[in-house]
Amino acid sequence: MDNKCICPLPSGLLQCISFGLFLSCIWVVHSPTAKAQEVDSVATNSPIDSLAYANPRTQIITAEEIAQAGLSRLSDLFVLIDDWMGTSVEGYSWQSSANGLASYQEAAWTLLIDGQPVNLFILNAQNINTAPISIHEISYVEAINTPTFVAGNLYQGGVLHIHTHNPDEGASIKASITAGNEVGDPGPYRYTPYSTPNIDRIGPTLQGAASYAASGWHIRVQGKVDEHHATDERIRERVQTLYQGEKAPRLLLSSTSVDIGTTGQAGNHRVTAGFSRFQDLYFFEPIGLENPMDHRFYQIGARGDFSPGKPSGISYRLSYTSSSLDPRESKGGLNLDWRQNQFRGQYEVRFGTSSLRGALGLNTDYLQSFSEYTLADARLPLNRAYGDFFFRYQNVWEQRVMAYITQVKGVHGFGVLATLTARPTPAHTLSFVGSVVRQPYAETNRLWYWIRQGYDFLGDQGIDVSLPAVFNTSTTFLGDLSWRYRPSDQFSLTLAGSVRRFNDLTLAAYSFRYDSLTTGFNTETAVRSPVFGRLTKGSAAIQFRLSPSLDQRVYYAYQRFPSADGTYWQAWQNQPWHRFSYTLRFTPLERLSLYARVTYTSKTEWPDYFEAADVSQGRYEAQLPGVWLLDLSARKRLWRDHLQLNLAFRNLLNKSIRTHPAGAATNMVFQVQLQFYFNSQRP
Amino acid sequence: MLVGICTPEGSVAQQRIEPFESIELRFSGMSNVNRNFLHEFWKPGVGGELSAATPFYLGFAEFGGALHQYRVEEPSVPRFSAVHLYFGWGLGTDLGSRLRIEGSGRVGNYRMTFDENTFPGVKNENELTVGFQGRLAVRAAGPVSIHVAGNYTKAFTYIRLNLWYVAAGISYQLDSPGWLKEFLR
Repeated sequence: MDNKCICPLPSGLLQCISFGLFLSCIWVVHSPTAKAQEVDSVATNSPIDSLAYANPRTQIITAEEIAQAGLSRLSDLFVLIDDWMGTSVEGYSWQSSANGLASYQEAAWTLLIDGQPVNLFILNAQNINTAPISIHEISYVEAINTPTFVAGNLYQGGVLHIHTHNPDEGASIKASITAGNEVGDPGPYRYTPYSTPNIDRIGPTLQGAASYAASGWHIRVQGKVDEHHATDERIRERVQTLYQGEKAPRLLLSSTSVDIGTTGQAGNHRVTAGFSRFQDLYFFEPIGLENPMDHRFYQIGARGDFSPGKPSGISYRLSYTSSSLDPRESKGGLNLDWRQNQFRGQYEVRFGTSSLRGALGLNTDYLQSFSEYTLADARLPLNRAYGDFFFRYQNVWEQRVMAYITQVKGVHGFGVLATLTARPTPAHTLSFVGSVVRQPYAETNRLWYWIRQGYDFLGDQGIDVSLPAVFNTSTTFLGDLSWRYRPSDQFSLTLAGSVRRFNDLTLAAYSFRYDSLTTGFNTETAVRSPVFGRLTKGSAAIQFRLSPSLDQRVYYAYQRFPSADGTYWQAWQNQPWHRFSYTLRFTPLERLSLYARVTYTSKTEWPDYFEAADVSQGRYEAQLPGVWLLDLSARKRLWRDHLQLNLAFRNLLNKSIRTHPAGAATNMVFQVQLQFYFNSQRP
Repeated sequence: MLVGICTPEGSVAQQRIEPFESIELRFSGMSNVNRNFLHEFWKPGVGGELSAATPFYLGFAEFGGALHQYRVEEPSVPRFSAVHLYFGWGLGTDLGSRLRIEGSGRVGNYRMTFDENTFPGVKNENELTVGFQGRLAVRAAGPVSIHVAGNYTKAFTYIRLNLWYVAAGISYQLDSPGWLKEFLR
């Protein structure tokens, strides 16, 4: 190996990135030359995805693990991702934060399905369950816990990339039903003076898919129906302020989608269309109550590659998305009256060889908002040009630099992402990911931007939201360094450290005051800009396989913010400092498996709720205690794998768990899941 | 695989049997024997239980259902009945040529149906149960055995239902039909 270190990045501009490259260069120079291990076999033929998978900070969740754990909702995936944290009011719509990359309130993570971005974001939130896909169609999920460049975009808030199964040849049909029961019903005591509130069942969740595949093409239709009961007594009382209906308050979800794919000499091409309807009881912070809403989501998209797997070629992605929030039957007649349509197009030309590649691309994004409120400018066009360069030396050294410039509403932004993976020996992988992004505020598409444009729903409700004089263009520096030691397939150790620096952010600071009339909150919202903060995080993960049938994983992370202003502190204090998990997968027989997961999450503080906690006489608390959770499930496959039965306990220690001060307290849950699968070419 | 349920062949201790090779159908009459807070309002009557047990990869698996009747002790509450459906797994061992002892753990659902004619309201309630059973069986003739058992069931209602039952009954063992073995394996 040449004893010189060649770092292609310009010095000075990206100090943290350069520092990481420097470290990595030293590593390579002083290490013996050796053949690096091949990228794991799960990786796709896409070099981008392969690289993401090769990153030790990417966690792969396979269909087998999903089935063993008995997951039924897409939001259940968050339970399995070590580096992501979540909070939910009613236990169905989750706000998530990936690896300290963004606060809960920013909802900055991104969902991709088979390489196609799925924009679920609307009015400061995104609910993964509204994605029109069945969890049983998942082949594997990449939880990318660092900034990453994928599908022609630099995503810095974390990415959940779902890869679906390729349908089996012939006609196939798959269906599942899942239902659960949370303990604590009154039982016969409901007729005695000792009666307690009823605890409703969980689900049922019905999911199904039908597909037909032949050589070179496939078509698949899938759908799901799900319901969730607002069973917590505090939520029920609060919900009654606005909710009106014949039955007890419920969240109802239905979705359907179709995808058609072709593979041949003309390349790989895929067309997808999906729809979901979510009749929501969304806890809308500025109101301080659950607002009954009817959320509809439509997406149609196409993507393709004219020469897949080759270093040179042309690819494209197109999508049209429409999201709307319409009124659901309610007492107050609240109508958010909000709809956003978005067209996205991405075109890319790539060139080079297998070891040195480049790509140039263009993104066009056109978003338009619709409301009965007069918006000063309802359109949000965004154009982005990017370049992406990848260099590999004998599987020992992989380096990538991606940069883009963007323009939205006359404001320019840019982003630079550098990744470096060094494998000096087959057992060692050193990885660095660094990024700098300067993002115009309009690009975030947040509610506060639209209030300034004239969206006055909150004003009509008499709710005052104070906005800053200017929404600053934020600058974010993110760096992640990790080392993975894997001497064999039976053992791996990953140590990782992360630093984040956020300049000129725009964040909201809420103040919730208890309203004894509604048992909800009166809220003051102050949106502040610029906001500054820094965050550091360290983690360790050990994976070991004692025998082919026994997989174990231990994970621990510690997260702090060494310096921050008041608003940043307020927005991040609600994340735990410590997080621990232990996962065990035991497959003693081919068709029988046991799955156990223990997690610990340390206490969290919610400064927004200090005032409410003081006067609500214990109804609400501003500090949630640390909690140990134990989940246990057993899975048996039956009838030559046509059937699969899963029995699962969630929160087997039966702790009263709450992830949000205004949220539901949940206890032990017992869940049963039955899956059916039939294929015309399998006996 | 060492398994333990009574076999038609009788006194062969710990025979090596394939999973799901046979099924033992068990019928029991049962009676609640403990007294606690629940019994201030209701008096359980005699119940019945029907279950099936089959050799598993280790030990045996069982599933079944029991019917419990509750009469009122206190007129301000309705009478109700409960169906207890459960899965279980356990281990057993032969004690001599005719005697067998078993222990098993169970997870199930306790579905309570209230007399809504006299007490309008929620008709049904379901709650998770866990429990265990100890069972002693004597081979009587061929595939027929008689047994006595004691079991404990806890239903996770807000005020827990803790129920101890004693049971006695008869069992009949048969070879599993081929289609059933294929299904379960």
